[in-house]
Amino acid sequence: MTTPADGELVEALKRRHDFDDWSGSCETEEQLLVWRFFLSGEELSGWAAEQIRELSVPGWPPAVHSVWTRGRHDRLLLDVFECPSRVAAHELTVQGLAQFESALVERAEIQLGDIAFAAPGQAAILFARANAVLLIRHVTRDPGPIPDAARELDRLLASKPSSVEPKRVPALRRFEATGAALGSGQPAALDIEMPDPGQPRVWFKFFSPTGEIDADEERVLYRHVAAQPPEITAYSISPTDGAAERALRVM
Amino acid sequence: MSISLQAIAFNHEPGTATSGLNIRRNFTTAVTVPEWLPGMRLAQESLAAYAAGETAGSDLEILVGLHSTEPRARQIEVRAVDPALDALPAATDPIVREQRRARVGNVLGEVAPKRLTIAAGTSVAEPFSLTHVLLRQRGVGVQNITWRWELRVQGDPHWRRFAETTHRVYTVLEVPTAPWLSQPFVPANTQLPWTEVLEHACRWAASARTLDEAAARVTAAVFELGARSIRYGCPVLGVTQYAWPYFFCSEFLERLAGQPGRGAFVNCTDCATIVSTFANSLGCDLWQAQMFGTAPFALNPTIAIGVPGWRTACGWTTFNYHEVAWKGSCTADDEVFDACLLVDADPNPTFSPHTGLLPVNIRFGESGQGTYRDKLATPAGRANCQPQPLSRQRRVVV
Repeated sequence: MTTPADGELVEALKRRHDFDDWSGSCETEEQLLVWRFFLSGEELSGWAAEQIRELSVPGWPPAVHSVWTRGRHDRLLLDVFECPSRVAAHELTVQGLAQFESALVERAEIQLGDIAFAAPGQAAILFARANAVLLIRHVTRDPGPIPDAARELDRLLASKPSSVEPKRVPALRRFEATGAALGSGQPAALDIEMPDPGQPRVWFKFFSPTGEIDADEERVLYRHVAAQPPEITAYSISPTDGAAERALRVM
Repeated sequence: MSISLQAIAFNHEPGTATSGLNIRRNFTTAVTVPEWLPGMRLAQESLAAYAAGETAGSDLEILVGLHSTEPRARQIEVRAVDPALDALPAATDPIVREQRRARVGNVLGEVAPKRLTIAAGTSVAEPFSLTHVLLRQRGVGVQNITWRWELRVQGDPHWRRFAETTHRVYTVLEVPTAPWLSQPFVPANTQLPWTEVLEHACRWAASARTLDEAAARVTAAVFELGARSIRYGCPVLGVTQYAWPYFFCSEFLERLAGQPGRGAFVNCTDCATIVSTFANSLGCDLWQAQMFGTAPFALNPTIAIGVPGWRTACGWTTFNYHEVAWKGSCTADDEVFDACLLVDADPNPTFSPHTGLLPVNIRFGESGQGTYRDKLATPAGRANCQPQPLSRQRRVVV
């Protein structure tokens, strides 16, 4: 959500930071959608979550706002926004850039996300990975670089689970679509049945080498762009127990 | 005599001038009506808020629940007096009594005597008028009040004490404005004015009788937080910490309470949001609005909140944008309140010596007029330091 003049600042920042060069860019081999993300407090090595707050405020994407501590005084702020699409995430990234009062913020020189910006010294990092936007700040007395924390979060979002634990982690109960819908070339809603609410909470990563995956309210949408048949894999992610996998069934 | 106090409702007719304001404690906790119930012994358990402007000329009322365990119906008279006036002998000159009342009396005055009949073993809920109300005389404030409840039966000249209650009362100047939403008065409305915000705003702006005065005091109080709990976030390039994309008011309140919150760093957006949100809880009508241009604008030396010394913000020479609490349409003709920076008061702010001036109720102005714009931006930078009225907003509080 921007005000009209926020829009002007955002447009100026887009020009200044070559938005057209990186907008829509994808640094993962497959298309990825992060869905219903949450933090458990286990995600950052060496850091303990002091506060995790999930908010869904009208006009803004669902977000997880968190504060992490290391030792007595070391403190990290992490905001994760789950946008409906990669394109929306890149727009939000520029709005994030518009929160830096200094003009010194620049493209990050580290390999991070699909696009990343940082303060000199890397005490504040803003990056987008797929449809997620993350803003991380070291807010201790003498802030230092925090690329390791940023990379760890990026891996959490972008990596495919190396193994699955189908007995411990609940998978989607149904994950299917009709061939006719997928073949239309238009975004098609996938038929998803969530795990039983009584089971441990999980979030999801959808990977596809054959099309784009977005979210729309409660639905996951797929737009087929490849010559080969549609292929989507949904991973349920448990912060403590691993992952479960479910491939799309095309009917 | 077995009459007991069962309930006191301040906000008994939500939305009317004779009643308290619609409030909640914070993001997660509502204030329920009646605000006082048996067993409440601390003022902080029984909260009420009033707008001095809205209630002016209206007879304030509270709704009082009474219960009788008498064996038969009774005609009684009930009142509540201000114990702070007890020290005065009954024969005290009325002028002296009123002077003392004005100094130390309950801001809600006293509960006027009322005759009523209460049937055996029943409860009644009766409206009672308040007398000697001091909301307008005192201006903005917060006070714990105590009422000593007394009754007498028909024909008996002596009042007998039967209860004592204590309440925390917040006085604002007008009904809070956005982002605060006084309607609907339901627990799901998290934007009802929070008493945890009023707790600070009413102390910061204590005794203010005009909206400008209240906004100025809130601005000064926020800047003074730089001496102990917050400071400009130079190491993180002045990125917003508390106010993007909404106002993390709960975390800021934690910070004010001595807890970490979202850390010590703030920027201009944070300060503009804090000032306007807290001032608007008192009835002010400030926006959060930005100034910027097609390129970053060059800065005069300033003193950033919590960062001693005159320099161009953190040693950077420019701002991408700057944001302040702003009146009216947020144009060059409107006044700003900036708790983020001390600017130079003298006519040549680009060069030393510098004299600190906290920008409160200063017109933004045009280049060369010597107003806020000239004090913030260098002569060369002023062209890119343009007011952006369309940026004005009031961030949701969470």
